[in-house]
Amino acid sequence: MEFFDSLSQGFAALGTWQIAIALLIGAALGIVVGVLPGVGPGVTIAVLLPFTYGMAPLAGISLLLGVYCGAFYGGAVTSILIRTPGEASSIMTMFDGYPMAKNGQAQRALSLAFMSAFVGGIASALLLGLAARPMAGFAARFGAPESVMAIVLAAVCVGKAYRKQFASAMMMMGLGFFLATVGIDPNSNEQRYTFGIAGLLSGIPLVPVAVGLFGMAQALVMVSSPVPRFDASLIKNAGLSWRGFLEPFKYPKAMAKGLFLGSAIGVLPAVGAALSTSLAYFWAQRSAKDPTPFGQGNPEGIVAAECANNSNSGGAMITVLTLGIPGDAITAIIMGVFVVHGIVPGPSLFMERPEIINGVLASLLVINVVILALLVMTVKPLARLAYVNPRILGLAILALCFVGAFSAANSMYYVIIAAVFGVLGLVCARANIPTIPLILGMVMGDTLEATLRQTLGRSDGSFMPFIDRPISAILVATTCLLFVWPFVSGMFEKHKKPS
Amino acid sequence: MKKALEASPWLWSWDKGLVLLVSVAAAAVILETPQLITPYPAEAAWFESAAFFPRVTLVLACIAGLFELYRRRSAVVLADSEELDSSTANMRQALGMLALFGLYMLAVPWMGYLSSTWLFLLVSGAWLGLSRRATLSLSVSLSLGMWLVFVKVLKVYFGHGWLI
Repeated sequence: MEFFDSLSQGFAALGTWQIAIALLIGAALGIVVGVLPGVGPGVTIAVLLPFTYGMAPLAGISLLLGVYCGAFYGGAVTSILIRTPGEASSIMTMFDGYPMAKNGQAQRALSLAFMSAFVGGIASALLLGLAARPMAGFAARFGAPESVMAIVLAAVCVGKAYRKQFASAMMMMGLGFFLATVGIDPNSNEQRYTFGIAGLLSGIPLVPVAVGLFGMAQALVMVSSPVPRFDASLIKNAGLSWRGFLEPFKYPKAMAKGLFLGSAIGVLPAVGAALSTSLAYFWAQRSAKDPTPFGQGNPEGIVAAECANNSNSGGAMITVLTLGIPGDAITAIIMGVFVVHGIVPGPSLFMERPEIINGVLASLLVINVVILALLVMTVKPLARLAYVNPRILGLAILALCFVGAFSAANSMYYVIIAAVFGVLGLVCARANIPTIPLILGMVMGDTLEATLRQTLGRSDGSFMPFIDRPISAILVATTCLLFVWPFVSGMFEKHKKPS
Repeated sequence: MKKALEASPWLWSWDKGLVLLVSVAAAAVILETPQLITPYPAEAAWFESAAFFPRVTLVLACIAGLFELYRRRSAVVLADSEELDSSTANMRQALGMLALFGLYMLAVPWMGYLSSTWLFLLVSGAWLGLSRRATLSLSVSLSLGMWLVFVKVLKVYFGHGWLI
C-alpha cells in the first residue's frame, strides 16, 4: 500500500511542464546518443550537467535519467542493423539481432529488443520502489564507521570490476580521493594543495572534470580516428512489428534471468550492464526453448540480453539513493545534480525529501513509456543517424564541451580544467588506465574524509569502531575477503589439480 | 579494434613511464605536504590533521601505481583502454585538434562567441578533411544554433568581444 502511495505522490511530483519537457528531451536525446556511433550517455550527461543547475532538482534528474535509459534502447538499433554496438552493453544483442536482421527479420529483432528492454526498465523501476525503502531503513542504522567501510568496500568493488587493471583502477581512485581534498578544508579552514591559485580555493569542480574526461577525451578520439566503414544495407529495413512486440512474453524464463541478473548486478558498484547482459545471455542459452542456435538469430538471446541491459538502471539508482554511493560514472554525475541542489543522497533523503525519491521512481517508469513511444514513431529515421560521420560528431561534441564547461560557472577557468582533464583522459585511454574510478573517487572523497575523521575523532585515533560494530565488522570482513579471494581460490585450484 | 603490445620484461615504454610518474609525484606530494598545506597543522593529532586523509589517498595512489608498474613489467599490455578505444586514433591529429581548441578558448572572449565558434568549426572541419559542404553547413548551423540556445535563451555570458 505504501508503495502505491509513493508511486502516486511521485506521479504528482512529475506533473509540471518543466519536468515533462525535461523528461521528453532527455529520453529523445538518450535514444539519439545510443544510436550515434561513438557517443555514449556519459558524454551527453557530462555536457548537460551544468544546464541542470538552473532547473528544479527533479527536472534535472529526470533529464539525465532520460539520457541514461534512452541510450540503453538506442544502442540496440546499431547492434541489430549495422553490427556495431552503440554501447558495450549491446554487444550480446548484436550476436542474435544482426543474423536475424540479415535473414530479413530486422523488424522482428528490433521489436524483440525494444519490448524486452521496456520490460526490463519497468521491472527495475518497480524494484527500485519496492527495495529502496527497506534498504534505506537498513542504511539508516549506519553510523560514521559503517559509512567509511561502505565507501571502502565500494572502492574495492570498483577496482575488482576492472579485474587485471585492479592496481591502475585503485591508483586512479586514490587520485580521485586526493583531488576531492584540494581547496579549503571545511574542518580547519586550512588551504590544501592550492599552490596559491585562487580558483583552487573552492576545490576542483566535478563538472569540468567530467566534461573533460568523458566529453573532450571522447571527442578527440572521434576526430582523430579513421571513419569506420560498415554494411549499411539493412538500415532501410528498420521498423517494428506488432507480433515481435508480443514475442518476448513467450520466453518468460529468459526474461526473468535477464531481469534478475540486470537488477542484481546494477546494484554492484562499477560492474555495469555489459557483464549482466553477457551473463544473462549465456544463462538463457543453457535452457533455451527456441531451437534456433544462439548466435544465429535466437530470439531468447535478444530477450535475455536486452532485459538485463535495461534493468540495470533501477539497480544502479538504489545504491545512489539509499547509500549515496554511485555505482558508475553516469550515476556519479547524476549524483552531482543532487549535491548541487543541496540534497544529500542517503537514508535521510527518504525522510527529508520523499518527493525526490518518489519522483525518481515515477520518472523512471514514465521515461520507459516515453522512450518506447518515441521509438515506435521514429525508428526508421532514427536508424539513419548511424550514417553520421563520427568526425562531424566529434567536432560538435568539442564545441558543446566548451560551452558545457564554461556555463557551469561562466568562467574560462572551468574550460581550462576541462581541457586539462580531456588530455588526461586521452593519455589514460592510450596507456590503458581507467578514468571512471577517478570520478567516483572525487564524488565519494568528501564523504569518506568527513566520516573517517568523525570516527577516528570519537575513538581518539583508535580503529576499533570499525571492528566493534557488527555492520561495520561485516563490511570489513567482506572487503578483506575480496582482497584475499584470488589467493584462496588459487590455493584451492592447486590442491585440486594433483587429485 | 584492439592492438596488443608485447612488452618484454625490461623494455621501457611510455605508459610505464606515466605510471611511474604518477607514483613518484604522489610520493613527492606526500613528502612536501607540510609546505602545501597553509597553515600546516603541526600540533594537531594525526587523525584530526588536515594532512591525514590526503596523505592516505596519496599512499594508495603511490602503492597502487607501483603494483601496476610491476604488473606491466612483463605483461602483455593492451594499447588502449576498455573504457575508450583509442587504438586507431591519430595522436598528431588529436593534438592538433587540441591546439585549435586552445586557440578557440583564447578567441571567444576577444572575438565573441558566435564568430569564434563559427571560425573554430570552419577551420577544424577543413583541417580534418571534411567536405567543403559538410564543413560549411556544420559550422554555420551549429554556431548559430548554439549561439541562439546558449546566449539568447539560456543567457550564458561569454564576455564582450569586438564581434558577436
